[in-house]
Amino acid sequence: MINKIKLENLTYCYKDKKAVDNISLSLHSGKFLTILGPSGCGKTTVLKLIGGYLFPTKGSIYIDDTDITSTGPCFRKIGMVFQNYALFPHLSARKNIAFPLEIRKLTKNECEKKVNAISELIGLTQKEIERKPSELSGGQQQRVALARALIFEPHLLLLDEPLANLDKTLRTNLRKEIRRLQKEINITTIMVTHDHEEALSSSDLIGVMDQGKLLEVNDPKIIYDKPNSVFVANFLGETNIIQADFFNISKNGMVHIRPENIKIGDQANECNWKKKGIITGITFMGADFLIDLKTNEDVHFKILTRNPPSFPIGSTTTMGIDIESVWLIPNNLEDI
Amino acid sequence: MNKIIIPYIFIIPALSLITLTIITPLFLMIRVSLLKPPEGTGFYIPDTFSLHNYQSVFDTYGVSILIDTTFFALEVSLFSILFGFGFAILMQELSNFLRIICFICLLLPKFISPLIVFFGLQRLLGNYGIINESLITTHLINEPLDLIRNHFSALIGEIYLTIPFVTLFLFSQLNSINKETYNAAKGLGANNYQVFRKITLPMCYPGIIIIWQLSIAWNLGSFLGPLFLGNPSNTTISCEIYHQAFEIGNWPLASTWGVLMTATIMMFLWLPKLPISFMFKDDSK
Repeated sequence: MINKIKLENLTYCYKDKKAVDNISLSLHSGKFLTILGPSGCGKTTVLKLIGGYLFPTKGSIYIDDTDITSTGPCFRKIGMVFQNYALFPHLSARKNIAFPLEIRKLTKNECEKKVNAISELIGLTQKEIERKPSELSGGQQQRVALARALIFEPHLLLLDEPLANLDKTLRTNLRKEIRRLQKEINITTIMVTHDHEEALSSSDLIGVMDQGKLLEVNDPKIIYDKPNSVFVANFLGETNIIQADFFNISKNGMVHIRPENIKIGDQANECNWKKKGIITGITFMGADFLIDLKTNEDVHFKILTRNPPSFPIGSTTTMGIDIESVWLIPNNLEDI
Repeated sequence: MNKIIIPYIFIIPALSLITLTIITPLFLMIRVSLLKPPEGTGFYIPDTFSLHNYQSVFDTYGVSILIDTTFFALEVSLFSILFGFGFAILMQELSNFLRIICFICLLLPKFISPLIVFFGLQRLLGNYGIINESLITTHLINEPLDLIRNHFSALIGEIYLTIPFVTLFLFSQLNSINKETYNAAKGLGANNYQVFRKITLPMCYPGIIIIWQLSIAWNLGSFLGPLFLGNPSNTTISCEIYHQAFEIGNWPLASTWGVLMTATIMMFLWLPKLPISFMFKDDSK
């Protein structure tokens, strides 16, 4: 098992554009890192650079201090699950899973034992693994791709938006399954996604990327509550980005407050910072209500509340914030 | 009721066309092949019935023509698929600009008459052709090489005609394979040869089978290559049909050859997998 994977000043240029711009990070054994970012930000390119499917223009990749930057993908021992699974359509699921073992010339018996063991671990039945990929559902194909990537005991597992093609219920279930497996096998994993919920619920660490740059890598709770830039704050879910002088916290800069940290109506009385405002909109979100409120200073707030609001649109009410939950964003000026 | 009848109505024009242009001439050809050959004037003796033509084909040099033609078609198909597949793989790796140039090189000979192409090949391979002249000028040889009027030159000519179709067909087959599949195989530990052997080749298998069938069907009817570039003693069925029908005027024997050629083509369409299926055994399950 490896101790560490390290990326050092990793840069990849596609024509004149920097798809990956000077990324450095270090990930310890058994950790689950999710790289989060909008489409086209370069997150899949990072994964392909680590997997060896692309070679960096500049920078290095180390596994346990061994430089693998120019090593081909077949020698890296890194398992990858592709967004479209990239299963071999002419082979049965069993043959797909056994492919890395056959390449390594394991005996038929050994292959059979390992395939059966991993299929059981992943939750594939004997009947399912005899089918061709086209005869399997999206979820089953995803499991086959995962089993195939894990069966040869790779140093590292790369997941390229593995849940993107699945419906919400299946996505939630498989997200939990992937996390369970990752912990059970204790494999270092890097996943790429644009879904912040997926990142927050599965990871030990989250890295947020934009325009080829890795803006921040941190613990999910810290990155959610105390992001270091406006972009990161916005990308991890609904938030309020307000001028810091509105709260008399600082003369310059911006603060961020998550909508669920703002109280409204009677509940606002418990808070140590209060303000009156007019309700400009109420959106039913399923479990919660998202309320838009405008203060007398024409500052707009989004507020998330579990209880159905008792006040109509246009009415005046009080909102309250515990001033400790307001976070002054360190890098906000350059991001605005 | 309408739902059952309507599809049949739609296929009537296609069926009529096939009946008119293929099935009817085929039956006429079979009938003529069963007529007695001409004695003196005319092309056949009408209102007769005889198996003499079939007997004469199998009693004389006919069997060797049949075998030669079949082997010739197999050779042309095999080399066309080998070179065409290699060329298609190469084209896939090239930049867009170079790929367009390759397409032009492949298709340009198809825009001009095959006769002009064969005259060009004669000029290239002949005793006083470009190749021999260059070799003599550079003193690599003293006497011109026998590059024309033999099996080799006939093969070159027919491969030259077949290869564009094979390459384009296999190129489209290769293009239909998801590129991530190759990456996945490499990431799982496969080297380039293993990717080709275990992924590319089996995934192109249906396409190779189809082009193998078509190529054999085309080349069982090889005419221009053997006629312009081949040795007159190594004739093919098509050359023999031409000889019997237009030089000797024996239509029943020419028709007999036509029936035999059609039967051989049908046999190869019916047994498509036999010659190359051993390459793919055990990979599907």
